[in-house]
This record gives sequence, C-alpha cells and structure tokens, in this order.
Amino acid sequence: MSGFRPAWSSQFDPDHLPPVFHDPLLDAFTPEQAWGGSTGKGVRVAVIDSGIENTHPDIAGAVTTFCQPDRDDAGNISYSFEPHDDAFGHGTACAAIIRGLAPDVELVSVRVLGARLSGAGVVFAAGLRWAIEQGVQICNLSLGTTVNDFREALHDLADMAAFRNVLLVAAANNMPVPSFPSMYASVISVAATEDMNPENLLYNPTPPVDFGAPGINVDVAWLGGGHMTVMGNSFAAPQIAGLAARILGKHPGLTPWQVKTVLRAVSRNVREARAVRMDPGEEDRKAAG
Amino acid sequence: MADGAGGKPEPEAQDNAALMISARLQQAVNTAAASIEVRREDHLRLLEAVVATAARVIDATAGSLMLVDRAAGELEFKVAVGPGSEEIKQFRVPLGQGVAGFTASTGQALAIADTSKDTRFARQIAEGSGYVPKNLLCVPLVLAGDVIGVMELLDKGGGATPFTPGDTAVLASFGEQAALAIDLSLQTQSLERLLAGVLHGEGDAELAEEIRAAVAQTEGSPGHYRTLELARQIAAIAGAGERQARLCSAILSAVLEFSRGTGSSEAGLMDVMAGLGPGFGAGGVR
Repeated sequence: MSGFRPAWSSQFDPDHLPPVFHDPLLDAFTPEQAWGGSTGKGVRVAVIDSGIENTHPDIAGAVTTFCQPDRDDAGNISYSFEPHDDAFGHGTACAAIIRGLAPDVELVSVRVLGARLSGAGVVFAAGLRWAIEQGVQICNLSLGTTVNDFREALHDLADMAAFRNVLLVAAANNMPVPSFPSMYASVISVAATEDMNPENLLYNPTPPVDFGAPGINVDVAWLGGGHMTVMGNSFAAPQIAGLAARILGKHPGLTPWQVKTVLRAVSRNVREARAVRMDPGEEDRKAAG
Repeated sequence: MADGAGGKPEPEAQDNAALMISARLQQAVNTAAASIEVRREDHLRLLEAVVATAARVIDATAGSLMLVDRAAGELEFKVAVGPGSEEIKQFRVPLGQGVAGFTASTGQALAIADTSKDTRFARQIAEGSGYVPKNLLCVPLVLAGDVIGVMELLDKGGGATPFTPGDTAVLASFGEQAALAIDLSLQTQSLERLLAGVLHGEGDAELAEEIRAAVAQTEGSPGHYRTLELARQIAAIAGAGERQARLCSAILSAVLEFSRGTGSSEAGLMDVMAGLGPGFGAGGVR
C-alpha cells in the first residue's frame, strides 16, 4: 500500500500536520505549569457512554454518581440513578484512561449506550443535558449521534455547556459522516495518533479536529476486570479529558476556551516549534545529526 | 375513451375497466417483483464480492456486512464470508451491543487487537458463529450522511497482526462501494413497494390516481405497446454510442419525412447512411 495515504487518522501524520502559528503570548505555558503535581482532585468528569464497571481495578470505585436515561414508547424520558454496569466495555475503557491520567477525579457514569437503542439520539441528548445540569467540569463524549435531527438540539447543549463552564471533549469521526456534537466550535474534538504518550498530544491548527492523542492499538480496561488492545478515536478523547482534568485540578475555574489554549500551548508540535524559535540554531544542529 | 361524449360509463363497464386496470397493475407488480428478486440476488453477490475483496486485500480471514433495521433496533447480517459465515448469518445483533452495535449507533470505527484478553467478549461472539476471532475491525457504512450498517473484518494475518489505521481507511473505501450498491437495491425495492401500494390503494391517493389514469389511457390501444417497444429500441441504440445515436436520429428523420410524403424516396435513406461516413456508408449497417 505504499503511496496510499490513509484518510483515517491522517490528520496528524508529520507530512500532513500544518505548521503552527507562533506567538509568545499564546505559547507561554509549560506542561509543569499546566498540570504539574495535579491528580485531578476536586474535578468531576462525566463519561457519557456504555456505563462504567465501578469494581474494575483501574476504576477502583471512583464512580460516585450513576445516571441512565431511558425513553418509553410514548417518547417520555425517565432517569434511573441506581448503580449500573457497563453494557459493552467501552465506557470502562474511557473512564480508566481518564483515571490513569488524573487518579483523583470523581467519575459520573451516564449510560446512554446499551441494549435498547430505538431512541438513541433522544437518550444521548437527555444524558448530556443531565450531566451539564449537574455542574460537572468535563464531559467525555467518545461517541456522538449521526442522526441529523439532533443537530440543533445538540448545538444548543454545546452552547449551554460552554456558558456554564462545562468542557465537552468529543471523539472526532474520520468517516464521511456528520457526528454531533464533535463538529461544534466550543467542543474539543480529538482523533487518534500512534504516539503512546498522552503528554505528547498534537495540536491541529485546521479544525474541526483540534487535538491528536493515543488511540491506535492502546491497552485499555475492559469488562470483567480485564483489558483489551483497541484502536479508535473514541480512546483518544479520554486522554485529552484526563489532561484537562489535571489542568482544572490545578487551575480551578478556567473556562473551556482557556483550557483549550493551555492544551494548545503544551502540545508537542507547539513546544517543538517554540524550541526552534527560541534557539534557531537547534534546527541546524538537528539537521546535522 | 368510451365516454368521449361526456356521459358516464355504465356501472358494469366501470367495474370491468377497474378490474382490467387492477389486473394490469398486478401483472406489472409481478414482473417488477420477479426482476427485483433476480436483482436482489445480484446485489447480494455484489456485496459478497466487495466484502471478500476487502478481506483479501487487507489479508483478513473472514468478513461480514450488516444492515441496520431501525424498527427492530437491530443489525441484520446480509453477507458473511470465511469460517463460521453460514452460522453467523442467522443471527441479529442488538444495536448498541458489541463492536458492530457500537459502530452502527455512533458511526465510530473501532478495532480490537486481541479478543482473548476478555473471555466474556470472546464467548459472546463464539455463541453466534462457533468461530472466535483473535482480532477484528469494524467501520460504518454511510449513505447520504446516515449510518445504514457496518462492515467487519476478522483476523488479520490469521489473527497474528492487529489492524492498522491504513486498513481502516481501505475498509472504509470498500464500505463506500457497498453503500452505493445497497442504495441501488433500496431504490428498486421502494419502486416495488410503490407499485404494490398503488395496487392495494395505499399511500399517496393523488399519485395512485395519476398512475391509474395513465394505465387507463392505454386501454384498447395496442399501438401503445408498439410505441413503447420502439422507444426501448431507440434507447438501446442511443446508449450504444455517439455514432449509433446520430445514425438512428438521421434514419428516423428520413423515415418521418418519407411517411409524411415530403421525402424523395427510399434512396434518401441510403443517402443518409452514406453521409454518415466510413463504417456506415457503402457497407451499410450490420
């Protein structure tokens, strides 16, 4: 397949990633300043997914609140707050990635994926609204809806989240399918990269995809206390959610826009560009080997 | 029409006409249904070829294609190739469960590199087919922005190598072909439903009336069928190429002139053909 450039996850290939805009004002933060010493303590993160296995060793009972919206045949939404399990393994994987980066976060499990999905879009929107209304600081959305009917409702929810200082981190979709709310400007949209170190996140100056993070053949928590090696943008989003939790643990009250600015400043490609600018000789020395 | 003078036809005649229209429609539906059945087989073969080619190109042992049944909230196997394929075809997957369900409900591509790490997961799949894959890759099938199903490949390199982002892109492009083939199939099926609906007096009453009227106009007019046959032949010739289309048009003009009595003679036709240049002139049309 030489010469064939994959469309999926190609955004962050070194040949594809556009150069970043340089400005000392925007580049001032270091990872140490951003999250050094932070464990995400005091930050509540909602994982809107297939549920979380709270007994999983990688979760260790970090889920404090459960919510499961459901829709009856008449279209009415009801909520169950009884502890639930993970229908699939996916939600546990995402929650464990967040907790791996920010071990002291408080997790809120909003289960919108499961056996009954006839009203998937409605249930998803209801779960997201509920989480925003709870005042969590971050919502991890490693899923979205592709149903066009929800475009407007989810746009309203994305605005509501931004105005209430709730950061939405969503998995980008590299398929030719509109996926809401990952396409909205106030949402941080994340795609998978091959680099296994989440602190080597990459910033993409050409949205809608904002950041690249590990998501290709990563080892994640799965059902029954187990693990699984997986690939998907849905595992890249919680890496950024975890880093954002650390930032908010250290700097409570930052707005979603400010968190995004900090994440950009500490991205690997931005740090590298800054190093070259501050020491123009470095590039020549690198080239010389 | 019989009531050209403005009077209404007798009730009995009216009933007979309705019966005839009904019988004609029934015949049309039967013909359409038969041809759709043939085409459906063709479509399945085409989809099977797409899945098999994708599996071969990406070096996967097995593959399948499932379509979303929104009413039932399930995924239905349409095509499966490789080990366990006959068994798995009988199963339906609830939307939102398993890798296929996740991809179908969220539109996100997903790959599992080592299923043996989760025995529960492996057992779940094995219950369906008796075949437990070591790894798998699933991409959504997208048609006009909607996820209509998923395509899944099992066991790259016999299960030895995990799927890559490049494989995801390749499988997605095969998925695009499959989605187009499905689109064509769905269009034919909706035509069948439309005809059946008209026959049974369901659906758009105005449209149904229009179609009935069009059929009624052809009553007692065998010439109509000859005209249709001629139209079919012309369409076939025109579709054969630019030169054929020009020849057909020239001949028809000459015939038209001839039949109106304004043309010179049959020799005029020969002139037309001669004027079309090499290949159509002296040797005539073979």
